Amino acid sequence: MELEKIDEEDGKLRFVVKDSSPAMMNAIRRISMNQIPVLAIEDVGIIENSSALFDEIVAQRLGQIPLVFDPKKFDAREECDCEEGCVNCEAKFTLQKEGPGKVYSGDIVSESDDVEILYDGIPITELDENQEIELEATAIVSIGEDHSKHQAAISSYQYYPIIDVDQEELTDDEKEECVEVCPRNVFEVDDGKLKIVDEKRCTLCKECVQETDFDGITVTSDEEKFIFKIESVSSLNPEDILEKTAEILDGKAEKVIGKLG
Amino acid sequence: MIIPVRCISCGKPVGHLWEEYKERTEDGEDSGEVLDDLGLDRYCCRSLFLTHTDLIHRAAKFKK
Repeated sequence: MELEKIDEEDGKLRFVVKDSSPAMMNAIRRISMNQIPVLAIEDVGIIENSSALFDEIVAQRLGQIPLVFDPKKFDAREECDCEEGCVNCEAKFTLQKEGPGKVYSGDIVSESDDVEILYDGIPITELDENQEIELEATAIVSIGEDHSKHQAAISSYQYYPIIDVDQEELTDDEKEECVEVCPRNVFEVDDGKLKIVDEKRCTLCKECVQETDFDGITVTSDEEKFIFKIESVSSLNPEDILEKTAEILDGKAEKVIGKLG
Repeated sequence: MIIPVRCISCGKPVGHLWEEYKERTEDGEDSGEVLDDLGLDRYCCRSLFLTHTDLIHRAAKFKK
């Protein structure tokens, strides 16, 4: 298996994988979405909530807020040596605000120095005059399989496209049609020839094949080569997620081998 | 009611983008272009923004 990075922007990583199989790709996809430990608010103690949203809804919204944390410093609550929760398995927060006005995720105060709120502008609730909210919250580390608020990334993969163009077979009109009909702008006409600008953009929709009545252009897929996308939906960056995924997959494989004796 | 913190289908955090989206579309910008700009390229997140109505102010009046 060989990886080659295509690009990375706004927490979205794309790379090409050579010599692999859909089974392997799916294992990476599922582990990167389901099995990576991520910190999120789990327990909320409401002291006062006179806002329009019910306590449960406020707690559910708090849980979904992405938190910045150091994955090396946190253990899962069940695996921690302590019994009642300590700094190694829990992070505490407080929130106190009086109306009128909106309550944002930026109003939450973290009690530990190395845990922060990733986005300050997430609206939690809205307070009218004489309404107030006061609460304490505890965040724990868990995995996406347990609850989707702990999901680290959104991952997907597709076969690598193979686009064959027969220049002789296509008329000039058909070439122009191909450029126009392609929703991902894969083609361009240059010097009377239909050229492929970037085959990695192709999503194998085959609009171009249909447009030319199925001759002159063929779109097939390389079944051992993939384009893989990882988009982070937590504070972890996609490369770290991929590294952690490999580590977890390795651990799981070791476990199976161990059981086989 | 109030914009969800994360996209209901895919789980991407979107709550913090709502106010910018609302401001810019009210100023007359094309909503499709604003969504592209905000990085919402899946149709689940896009439909969440296109169909959302803020009603929390109304609900707040009935609770004292």
